[in-house]
Amino acid sequence: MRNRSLDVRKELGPYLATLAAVGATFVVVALIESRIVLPTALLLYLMPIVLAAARWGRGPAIVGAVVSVLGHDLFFIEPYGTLTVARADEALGLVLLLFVTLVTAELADAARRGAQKEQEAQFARRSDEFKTALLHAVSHDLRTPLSAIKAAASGLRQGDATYTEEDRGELLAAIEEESDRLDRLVRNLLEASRLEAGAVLPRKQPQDVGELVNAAVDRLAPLLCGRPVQVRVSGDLPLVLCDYTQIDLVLTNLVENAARHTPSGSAIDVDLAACDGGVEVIVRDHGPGIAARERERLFRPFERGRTLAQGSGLGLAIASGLVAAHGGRLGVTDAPGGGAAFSVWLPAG
Amino acid sequence: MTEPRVLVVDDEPQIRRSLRVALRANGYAVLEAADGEAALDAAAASPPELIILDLGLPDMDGVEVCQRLREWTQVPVIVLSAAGDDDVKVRALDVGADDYVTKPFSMPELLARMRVALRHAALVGGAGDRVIRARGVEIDLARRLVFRCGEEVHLTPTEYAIVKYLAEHAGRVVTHGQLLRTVMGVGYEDAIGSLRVFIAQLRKKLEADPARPELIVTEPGVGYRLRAD
Repeated sequence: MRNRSLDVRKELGPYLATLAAVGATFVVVALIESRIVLPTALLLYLMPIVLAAARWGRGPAIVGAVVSVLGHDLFFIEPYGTLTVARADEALGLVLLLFVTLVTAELADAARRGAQKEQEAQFARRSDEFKTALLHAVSHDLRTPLSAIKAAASGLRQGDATYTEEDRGELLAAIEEESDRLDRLVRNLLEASRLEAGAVLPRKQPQDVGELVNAAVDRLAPLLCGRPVQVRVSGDLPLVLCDYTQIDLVLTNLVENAARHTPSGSAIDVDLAACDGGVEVIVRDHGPGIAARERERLFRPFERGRTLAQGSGLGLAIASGLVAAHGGRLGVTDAPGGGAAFSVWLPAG
Repeated sequence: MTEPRVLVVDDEPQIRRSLRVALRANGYAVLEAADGEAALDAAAASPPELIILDLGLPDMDGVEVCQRLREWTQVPVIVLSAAGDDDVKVRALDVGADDYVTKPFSMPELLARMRVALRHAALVGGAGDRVIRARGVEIDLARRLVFRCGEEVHLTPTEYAIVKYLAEHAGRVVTHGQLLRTVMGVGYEDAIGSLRVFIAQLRKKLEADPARPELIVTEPGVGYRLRAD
């Protein structure tokens, strides 16, 4: 019921607005009629009608044109209060007004449709570019873990090689870890296409962000091996209303990023604190840091820092999109003592 | 006999890890480099017997690495390429890479290519009069004669030049560009059409079934390979 009345209001709106504008024009004409000639008065009506055509299309413009002509006749042409026109020049003027407003409405409407079509075409082009870039990312970045898996598995199956127990364990671990990486990649790709389609709907529930961070760090343990990783929580953190899988992906991407783009063995620090009515998570690394001019680019899909060759270029763009869908903020600064510091802020409730 | 030393150049630690373990278990000593500079340094510091080179490195093009290696060493180079990178692959072969495998590759395939490359390097090192035998064909490079099932086959000078070049690189892939440059001279690298005609003629004279070649096999989009016994 409510929806239908909303629809009606939505459809009638442009008509009512056009009529209001025409009414305002009547008032203006009434105020200055004594000082202007007929053609000037008639030209004034063109204003609301052209605007209506450009904004809402042909329908409201035609209604506006007809009402202007009838109204002007009724209010300003003798005999007043009737639709009769005594003088020939006035009759001609009204016919011309009707003609010009209708033609102008038609033209403005055509221009509006053209612009709309161009916008749609642009959207389609952008979507195509996105798909191409996505395919490119998929072909390159799915293949790397796949290659590691295939090399390890085919190596294990090979009859004439002499593997120690340790070698076997190492190859099996490679297979398992690279499968996890493939899984993360697939999750990122899914979220990327959802973000692009504008279909991200966080299923929000109260979550302990500290727990989420620890889970992400645990899961990435193989990638982080040999690195000092410190998760520090200062004070009590409020629960955050968020989608567990989406924020998990955000945190995983940030930690994976820090691990992938810094020298192995260098420390990664994750600090959590309550701030601004929400929770802030800062992931600091001790790598080369990120040049100021590259920072903005980092959050766009398929962009990577210049020095960073690996990765799909999706992780940060997805993180940024998901954080925005939660009404939060994602940013990057320099970490004290070199390195990059990515910070996520999520509102508490 | 000491283990042959292999330098693995790949920026992905996980690929290096799989290769390191599998190659070690197959009797190779493995050195590693994560980028082009490190690869060139490592190759100069203690020259390996073979290099496995990923084409997508963070600091420089794999083709450039290959080129700079060839300035001073003939160490066999096998490139790792991704499907769809035909262009880069061919350029790497043109500047002197010996062979390629496409990711994802299987270990037995890579190991086979490595054996061919090492064997070839050993042959070139101990050059001399050589006869290449394959699929009933005998190519006598010293006497410039070619036999099929014991009978001499008459080849035109161009045909012989092609067979000679393929035989000298037996087992390894040879690009269209390399063949055309050697056989027809610089500037004819685009005459792939005429090269196809010569190859077809050669197959008619040398293959048991020219429609299903077993001696001179096509590497699609890249070139040809002469399969030696």
